[in-house]
Amino acid sequence: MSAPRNTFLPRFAIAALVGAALVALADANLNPYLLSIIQFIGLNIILAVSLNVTNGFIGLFSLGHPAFMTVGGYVAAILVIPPERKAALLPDLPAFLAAQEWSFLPALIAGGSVAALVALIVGFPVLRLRGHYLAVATLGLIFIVQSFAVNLRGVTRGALGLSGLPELTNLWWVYLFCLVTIYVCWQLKHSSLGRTMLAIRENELAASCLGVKVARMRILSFVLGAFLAGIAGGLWVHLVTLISPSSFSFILAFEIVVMVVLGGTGSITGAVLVAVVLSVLTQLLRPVEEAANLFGASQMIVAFVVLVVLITRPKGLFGTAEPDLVGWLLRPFRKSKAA
Amino acid sequence: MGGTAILTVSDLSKRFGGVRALDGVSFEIREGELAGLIGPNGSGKTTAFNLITGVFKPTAGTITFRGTRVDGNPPDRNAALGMSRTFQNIRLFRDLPVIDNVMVGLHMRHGTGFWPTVLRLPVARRSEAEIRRRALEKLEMLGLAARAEQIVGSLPYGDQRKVEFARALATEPSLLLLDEPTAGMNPQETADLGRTIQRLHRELKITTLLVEHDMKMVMGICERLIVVNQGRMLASGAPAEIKADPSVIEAYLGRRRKDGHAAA
Ligand SMILES: Nc1ncnc2c1ncn2[C@@H]1O[C@H](COP(=O)(O)OP(=O)(O)OP(=O)(O)O)[C@@H](O)[C@H]1O
Ligand SMILES: [Mg+2]
Repeated sequence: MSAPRNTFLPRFAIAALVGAALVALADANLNPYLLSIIQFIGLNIILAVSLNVTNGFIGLFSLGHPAFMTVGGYVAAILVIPPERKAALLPDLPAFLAAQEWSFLPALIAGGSVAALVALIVGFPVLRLRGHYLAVATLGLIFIVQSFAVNLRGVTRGALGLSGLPELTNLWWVYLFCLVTIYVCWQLKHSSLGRTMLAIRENELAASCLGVKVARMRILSFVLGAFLAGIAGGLWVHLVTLISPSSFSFILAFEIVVMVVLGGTGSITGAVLVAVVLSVLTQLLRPVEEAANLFGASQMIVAFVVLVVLITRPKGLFGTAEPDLVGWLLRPFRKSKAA
Repeated sequence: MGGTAILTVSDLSKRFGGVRALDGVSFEIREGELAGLIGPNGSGKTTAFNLITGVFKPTAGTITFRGTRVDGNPPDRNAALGMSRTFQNIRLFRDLPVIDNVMVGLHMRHGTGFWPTVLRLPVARRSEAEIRRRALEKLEMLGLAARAEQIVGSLPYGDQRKVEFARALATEPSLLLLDEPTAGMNPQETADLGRTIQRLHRELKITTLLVEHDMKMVMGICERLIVVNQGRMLASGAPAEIKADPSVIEAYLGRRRKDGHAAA
């Protein structure tokens, strides 16, 4: 927790503006393929930072993100598809849904909200579990949501999925929600409320004897993570223009968990950095894998890196700390000013 | 000091499988007093604390705190009602700075909810400043202000116990339960902390129940002692009476080197 709270806002504003300039530059100059890669990086940032609220701040090992992405993705997609197309694609859709034609932002937020609602409902029984049991239960949630998606054919078109979704996601949307996610999670972590989350992670019994409502905080973190994952799901499906029950699998859950674990359980900076590095690495290694016919090599490398990090730094690269990257990046400018 | 009871424990029992950790214990703690709860190892003192604060549910018996039944309450409810405690086996938030440990205790009474926090409303900023101010105040009371920003897990043992004490004060309790706050301290530190406990009890007017093995210290600072042995009440009264009580002497001499350890 090196960057004190009162310097966060100006730094965040500077970083956000620099980021916006970079986004504008990228948007104007890069080809769609590269742009989509950057958007996936952004989505990974949203996913890693939001999973960090449960897995890092409060110390609940959840693998549930893909389930919430699926929920958020379907909800956003169904709300956004124009009624004419819905009539063809989903003839059995209940009338009140068939008539909806939402614009993108409210549809994304609705997706996030329904995902949050699911988290709220399953949270009460599931969050009683700890450690491996919770991991398995949230893994189960992914399969449950998937089987709902397969079987609720009237709403989801079953295993076929919904294809030809409008290509609404662009770099600006992804960037906006990256900022929102980082801002909310940072404010939370560096607040009295967030401190009670860290306290629960460190010693649950002591926290509850100090009046911390442990169950309520657990639910809050789970619901917040689910909301952001639901939004990421909505963004994702309108980037790839497709959603099916298998769009977001448990493999994705492991990828996000790896980002959180590597970055440091509780470190937002760590989650962002590792999300970027891992996404770039996978992209760079893909052509190599294809050329050398070594499919899966990047997963093996990632697995190896995870092992090394966990053995040498069990709390991830940064633990709960937030190294001051903006200050570090600005240092050369400061020096030249002083000279 | 008034004679009204702030805490009444009646016929309290707790079994762990075959072990009767507590067996029909009854006592009262009066408003404003500094009382000691003593007894040989394994006699059920920590278990009594765990039942009173709600960490465990009693097998039988009742606990009344400031006029309401609290047996079976969860710990956070009892904390809100005004109980606070330290732990015999230190339970700090190890990876957090000293001051953050104390600030967690202040959240219950001075913190804000989710929306003011993430929207960074003025009320949240004021509450954060207030929490920090009060936390520093508690640290100063225990002479820990200089260590405020250190990670608590890196502090020497004695200081960690003091952080537990400061953190317990942070909930602004009306009843403070201290479970062997001097364990592992040398005689000098023990005497110092004894004086601190006495001073804070006087200044803050918090009713205090102290579990302590150092007889010299307990006898020196407590106004009244409650003695338990093997899960049962043995005696209660002024230190001088207790010191002279044959059953107490018998219990201590008879079981001097036996150990029964399990604590929260
Ligand atoms: N959680 C538990 N599970 C099983 N047995 C327990 C538990 N807690 C305490 N006991 C048992 O209950 C009895 C009383 O233990 P307790 O810790 O309350 O004693 P104590 O008076 O605090 O002792 P000490 O002075 O050593 O701290 C002991 O026999 C102990 O082994
Ligand atoms: Mg004990």
